Amino acid sequence: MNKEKWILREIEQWVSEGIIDSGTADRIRRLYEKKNNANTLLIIFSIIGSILVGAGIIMISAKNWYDIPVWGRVSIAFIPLIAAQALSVFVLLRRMNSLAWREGVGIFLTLTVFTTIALVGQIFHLPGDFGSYVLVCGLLSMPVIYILNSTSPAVIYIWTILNWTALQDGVDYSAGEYGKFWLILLATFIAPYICYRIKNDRFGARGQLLAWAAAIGGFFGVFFLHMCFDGFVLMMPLAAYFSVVYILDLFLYKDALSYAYRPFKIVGWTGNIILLIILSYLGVWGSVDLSDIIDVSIWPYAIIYAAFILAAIWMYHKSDKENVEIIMSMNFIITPLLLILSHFSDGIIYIIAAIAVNIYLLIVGMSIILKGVSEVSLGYTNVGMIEICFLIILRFFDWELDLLQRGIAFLLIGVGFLCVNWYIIKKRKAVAE
Amino acid sequence: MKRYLLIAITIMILAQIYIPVSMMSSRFDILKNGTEYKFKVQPIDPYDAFRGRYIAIYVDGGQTEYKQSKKTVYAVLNTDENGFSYVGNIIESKPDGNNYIKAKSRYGRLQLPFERYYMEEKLAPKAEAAYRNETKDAYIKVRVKNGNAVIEGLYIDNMRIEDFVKQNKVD
Repeated sequence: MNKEKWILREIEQWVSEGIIDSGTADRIRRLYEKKNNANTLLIIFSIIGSILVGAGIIMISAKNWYDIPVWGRVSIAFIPLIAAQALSVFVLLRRMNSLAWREGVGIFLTLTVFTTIALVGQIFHLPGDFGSYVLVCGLLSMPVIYILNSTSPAVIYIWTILNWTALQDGVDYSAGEYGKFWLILLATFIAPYICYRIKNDRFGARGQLLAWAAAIGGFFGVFFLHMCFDGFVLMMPLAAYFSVVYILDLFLYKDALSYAYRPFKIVGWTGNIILLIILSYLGVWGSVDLSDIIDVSIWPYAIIYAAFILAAIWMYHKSDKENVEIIMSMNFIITPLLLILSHFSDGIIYIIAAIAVNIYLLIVGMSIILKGVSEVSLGYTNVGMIEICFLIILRFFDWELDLLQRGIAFLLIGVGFLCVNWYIIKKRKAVAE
Repeated sequence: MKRYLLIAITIMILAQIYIPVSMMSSRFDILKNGTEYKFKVQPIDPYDAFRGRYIAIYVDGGQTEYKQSKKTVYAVLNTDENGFSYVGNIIESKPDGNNYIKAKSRYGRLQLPFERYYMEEKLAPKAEAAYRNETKDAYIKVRVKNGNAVIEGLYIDNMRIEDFVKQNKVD
């Protein structure tokens, strides 16, 4: 918890214990809110300013000053880097207390590393290989994250390792090539910082930025590592990942004041719903083919999957959960199980799997609506309503099912809804009487 | 604590300087002491957000296909009667002599370590136009040492491309 948040919480305590009156409390609150806003603005402006200066230097240097002799261009290539390094030493010695300085100089140094390596490549016409270029730059600037305790270079580092993984083998890599698993080692370099930042500043701007980057970056990481498989095999690790981050949110962000502060929940929920919507089509199930993973040595993939399972079980056990969250977390088992079943069977299993996914989506939506109603949260209720309405629209225009089947299903579900409604109204009346 | 951070920042600064300097010094050495080869090429003009505008180089003639992908291979160089070099053979073990370039095979093709020639942003499209419109022979001069290659220059009509574009006022 940061200083401002701590003092704002303490003020409430002081007022309740009669140490200060409410007028004094308001004046202190206003003072700290002003200070906090000014600090955030300062940090944001220093990051944006440094990005603009860095990008400007990149563009100017990319111009290629052919008329300047090679030695001249080489010297110019190092000027921004040395300036940024000098600034980072200055910050380390004199300005470590200023977040704005640390963030601004951290991102500036990172960008100048990109510039210098790019200029060397330009001067000597080095071959393309963008993936290796960004990885070298990412690794060279990574220590600044820890030395200056600076978050924005961490976001750039996450981007560089993902970019390298996506580009290193191109589109034609096969499941049996394991070079891409270096991503896991590269990610462990940044993992301690992500844990430290989220632990110390979960709801602050920097903690939130890094949590969003980690949640989205994690998705791309899992996606790139499994991209070599058939689309439906890919859904298994993705379902596991989305469920793990969803459970991670229960573990870390349960006390958040708003859902906007819960990046892992938003990414986990949205990802799972999108996967389930794809799997809600009957036609999908006929083409599930898991033979891809039978042909290769699957132990690296199995280790990732086992890590997800262990993490999910442990966090699930430790976290404080509600019905709605238990239901969504179940996708961890449901999607992989249905995919494996449909691979080993045919015909009727496809229909059962598609119906099961549709019912599951319906239950998820219903549980959200029920939670929204019980907590009188319009936002929550609306999310559940939108999800169910979307499912209804999809099935209404789903030409794989014939009109009679769809008509009967709609009638039954509609009658079910009305019965539940009638039951709730009856119960309320009974309570009121 | 600050002492350790100072040591860490010193190591980081040294690494950030050492990597680009070592990249440059080996290239300077090749340019100074390497053997010169000329390759006929087709230049096309694309763009890189970080490194600027460049001419993509496709080497003409010689062997370009290699079945096994993602391997380090050695392209053995031959020279024709006009003094232009081409890849005569692609092998996986290091050959004797100095007439070879270390390369990679990707997508079933040989990928030589000279595929880009960086130019000023306004000159690059003109250079491509000059090649296309005037159908002149284009070639690159490459210096090779111990299998490593560095481009020395791109030439059209025996003139460095930058000078050719400026002198011929290509639009």
